[in-house]
Amino acid sequence: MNFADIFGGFFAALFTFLIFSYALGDNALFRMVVHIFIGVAAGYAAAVALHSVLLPAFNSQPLSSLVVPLLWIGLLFTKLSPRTAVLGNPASALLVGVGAAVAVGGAIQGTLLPQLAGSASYFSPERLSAAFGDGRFGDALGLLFNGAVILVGTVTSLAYFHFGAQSRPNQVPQRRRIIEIIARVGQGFIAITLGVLFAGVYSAALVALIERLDSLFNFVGRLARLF
Amino acid sequence: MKSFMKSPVSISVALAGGWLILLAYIFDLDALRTQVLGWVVLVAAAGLLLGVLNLAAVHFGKLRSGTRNALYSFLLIISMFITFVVVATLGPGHEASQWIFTNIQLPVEASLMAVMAVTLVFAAARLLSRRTDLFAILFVVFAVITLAGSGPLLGFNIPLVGDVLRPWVTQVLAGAGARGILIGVSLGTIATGLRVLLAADKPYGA
Repeated sequence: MNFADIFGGFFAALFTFLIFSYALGDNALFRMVVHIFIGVAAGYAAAVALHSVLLPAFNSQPLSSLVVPLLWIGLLFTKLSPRTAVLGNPASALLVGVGAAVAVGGAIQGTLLPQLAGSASYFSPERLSAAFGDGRFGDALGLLFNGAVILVGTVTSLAYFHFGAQSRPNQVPQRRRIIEIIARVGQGFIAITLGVLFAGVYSAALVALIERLDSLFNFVGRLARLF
Repeated sequence: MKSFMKSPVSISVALAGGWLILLAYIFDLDALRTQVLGWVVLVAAAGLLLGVLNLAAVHFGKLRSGTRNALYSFLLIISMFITFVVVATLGPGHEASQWIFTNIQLPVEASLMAVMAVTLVFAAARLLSRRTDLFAILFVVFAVITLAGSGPLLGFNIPLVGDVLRPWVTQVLAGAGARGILIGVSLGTIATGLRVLLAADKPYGA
């Protein structure tokens, strides 16, 4: 155990204790550690962006091919001063426009189509005919039942987020009765999903708690052996 | 039309950049897409640096004004500066950078996560005490089933919960709800993205 290990272990243990002090309520020591953490995280992210994205690009490509991004970066940096900030709007617009296009493409290719295909796969003729063909009627019926539950759950959960309502004179706008009923079923599925997600997050938090306590005891034990 | 006249350059840039990428997706123009995205990644990385500079400037202003919370701002600026100098000059893979990550960032993140183990229990208890309807009960019951089925309890496996009920709940019941939520999120993303690409929304100061 060298000096850097002792020093690092001491800092890690100290920060852990100070963060745990939040269990007694919000306090100044907790806020100090959180501000240090934000500083370290922001500094780390900025340094990685510079070291791993910007510098390699500028070192590996000829300057002529970097004229366009350099122009945009220059415009973006005019936002540092309130007087020139308006010049940086086109650069922000480029980021937003391209980001929106990437988000649309990603949402369609990465989420919408795979999720629809995943939901439909329970009713896939190949899977069903394979199960029926092998005489595994129980498996085939199970597949159909699970598929039906997933179909109902997906449609009703989506319907829960349908907030279109008809306005009537002198009445509070209300959803149609059929949508209201479907949305209630969807609310049940969403409650179950959030319950399962809660359990997952809680398990992860417990693992983190155990890891932190273990590292604290470990550090104290190693320190005691040293003296 | 009125806002287009006000800032035609910004709106044109957003529409041109966005539609170029979207059309490159549709017509498989990989070379064009890679080139434009490569430029935008560099601009985004510079934007990140700008954001961090802005954070430092805001806290520097607080430090100079000498408010009650100036100490927090001082700690933030110092830790940001030291981390940036060390990681940017030596690289993220260097021993010193790894030391900062292992002994400051990782323990604080893990400790914040660990504190959540306590706060989540309080939140669940408060949910049940404030709102005892069917959906709150469903939430708690299925959270307990998932937790009970995730491992042996005092060395004892609860029959049917871990091997039958939990997999069915997580993969079918919760899977269905999660699919609905994910499809809803992606539809929302598409709608928001298209609003930007049609210049109905202009979140870039136009």
